[in-house]
Amino acid sequence: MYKTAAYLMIMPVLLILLLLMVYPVGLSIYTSLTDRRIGTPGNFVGFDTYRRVINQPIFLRTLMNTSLYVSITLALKTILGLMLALLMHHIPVGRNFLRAIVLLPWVVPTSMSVLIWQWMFDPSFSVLNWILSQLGLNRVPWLGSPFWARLAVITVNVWRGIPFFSIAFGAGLTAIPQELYESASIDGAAGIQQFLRITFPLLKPVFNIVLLYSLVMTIADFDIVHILTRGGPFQSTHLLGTLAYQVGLPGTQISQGAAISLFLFPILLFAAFFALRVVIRQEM
Amino acid sequence: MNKEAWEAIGISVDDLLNFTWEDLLKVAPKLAEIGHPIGFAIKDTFDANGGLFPILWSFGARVVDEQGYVTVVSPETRRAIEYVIELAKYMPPDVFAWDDAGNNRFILAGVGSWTPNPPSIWAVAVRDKLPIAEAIDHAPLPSGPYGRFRVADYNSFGIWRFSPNIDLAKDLLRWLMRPDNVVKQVEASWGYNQPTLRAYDEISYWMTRTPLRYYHPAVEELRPSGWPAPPGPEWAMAYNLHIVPLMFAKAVIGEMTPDEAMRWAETELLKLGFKGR
Repeated sequence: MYKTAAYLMIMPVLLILLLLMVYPVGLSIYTSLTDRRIGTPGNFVGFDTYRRVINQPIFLRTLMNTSLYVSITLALKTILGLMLALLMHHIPVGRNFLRAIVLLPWVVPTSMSVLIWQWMFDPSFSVLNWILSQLGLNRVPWLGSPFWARLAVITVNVWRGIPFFSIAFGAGLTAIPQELYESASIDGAAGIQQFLRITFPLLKPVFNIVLLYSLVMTIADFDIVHILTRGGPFQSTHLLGTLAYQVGLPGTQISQGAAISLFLFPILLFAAFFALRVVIRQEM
Repeated sequence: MNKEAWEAIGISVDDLLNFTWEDLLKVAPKLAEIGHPIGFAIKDTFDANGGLFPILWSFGARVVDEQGYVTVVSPETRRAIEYVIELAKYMPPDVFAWDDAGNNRFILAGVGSWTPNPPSIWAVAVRDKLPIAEAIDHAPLPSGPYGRFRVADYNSFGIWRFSPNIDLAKDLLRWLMRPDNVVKQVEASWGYNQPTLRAYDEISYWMTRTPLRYYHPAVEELRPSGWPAPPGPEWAMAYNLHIVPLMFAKAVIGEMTPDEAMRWAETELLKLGFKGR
């Protein structure tokens, strides 16, 4: 009886998951196996759509862009987030106020904050270029050259992501018993040794969860690139999400858009499974 | 165009009625010298088509022919690319980073002297009472050895087949497309929405606004981006992946020679499903 009641109670949530997650994913998978275009139902073609997508030079370029974007932003967010967390952990006063300030980039709606960045990077009216020119330096083509445009989107992603990393790491730091550091100090361990032998190992579960979450969110990133560069210049900032949108909707090739967006699905699934297994093993 | 900048070098708006692309190349350095350069986006953005396709067509180049064969590799295309390489020397480097509103801001800020664009720049300047409003005017695009062209991408109305109100929707469309209602749409959009059917040729709005007097009758041949490529999914992809603007951009910034850029575009178009000879 209790089992039936339990299943009945979770039924609404299961229904929502089915409708809002399982059904769209299933439909995307099916669409990617057809040659459907907007306005036509299309036919089942198996993996032919994936073959067409892989043969397009822009797709391989986008895959490379995505790998570069994800690896650099994850590394920077991890390092800078950890540094900020350690800094906030050791500040004696005003910690809560600082946490609130640090959270702002993450809390402000992405589209709003990216529009401000777009203005800051504007090719003609950039405030950053104005500052550079006042200092006697050359203007930078922030969104006009592949190198600077990649740097621009990475900067915005890192700026937005650091708060989440620092707050998560900060929570992890708070959970580490202080007695460990005290006894380590008594045994003569220096700061860096305490970090490597105590802080880092005990933060590993938090690292895994935060990195996994950020990996999935960063690979699926859309709004930063769509607003700032639309994937340009020269397709140098296209991510899988933005390319899937451009091909699938304005380009009307909805099946190819689905194939592009699902391309990394098996890899992400494996990464999530692997990371969660590590976390569960550590907790045991 | 900013007519005051042109008048400063001794050229009136009416003089542009007979301008060729070569004439534009001759005056571009003078405009750049007085701090009011010309400009249009030379990057992967939709507005770039408005500047680049008229040049391609005027020089006799066709990216894809009527049967869907890729014809982008040609002496005419090379000539068009070489022309843009020269013209771009007198544009600000910002053109490689502009989005679709970049050229609008360029003129509205009082910096730019000329850009290919619908009357939205003028409309915003007048609506927002910007200082530049009085100086903005419009002139036909220059001509080339093979004619004078302007890009006119068009939008269409459609009714979903699964709609439960198809007849009602058709009634709505008939009502919207009545000449007296089309006139109101043209006026409400400040001339930005330009009807494509001959039945609406006699709209007088263009003559009631001095800056719009050269919109009607159209002096240029109006063609959709990609013409004469057959409409279809292949061109939809080529348009959305900005193959033609990228071809020009790669040559202009020196990443490729004009010949390499043409071959790159040809490869991309063939991979999108167009036919090769």
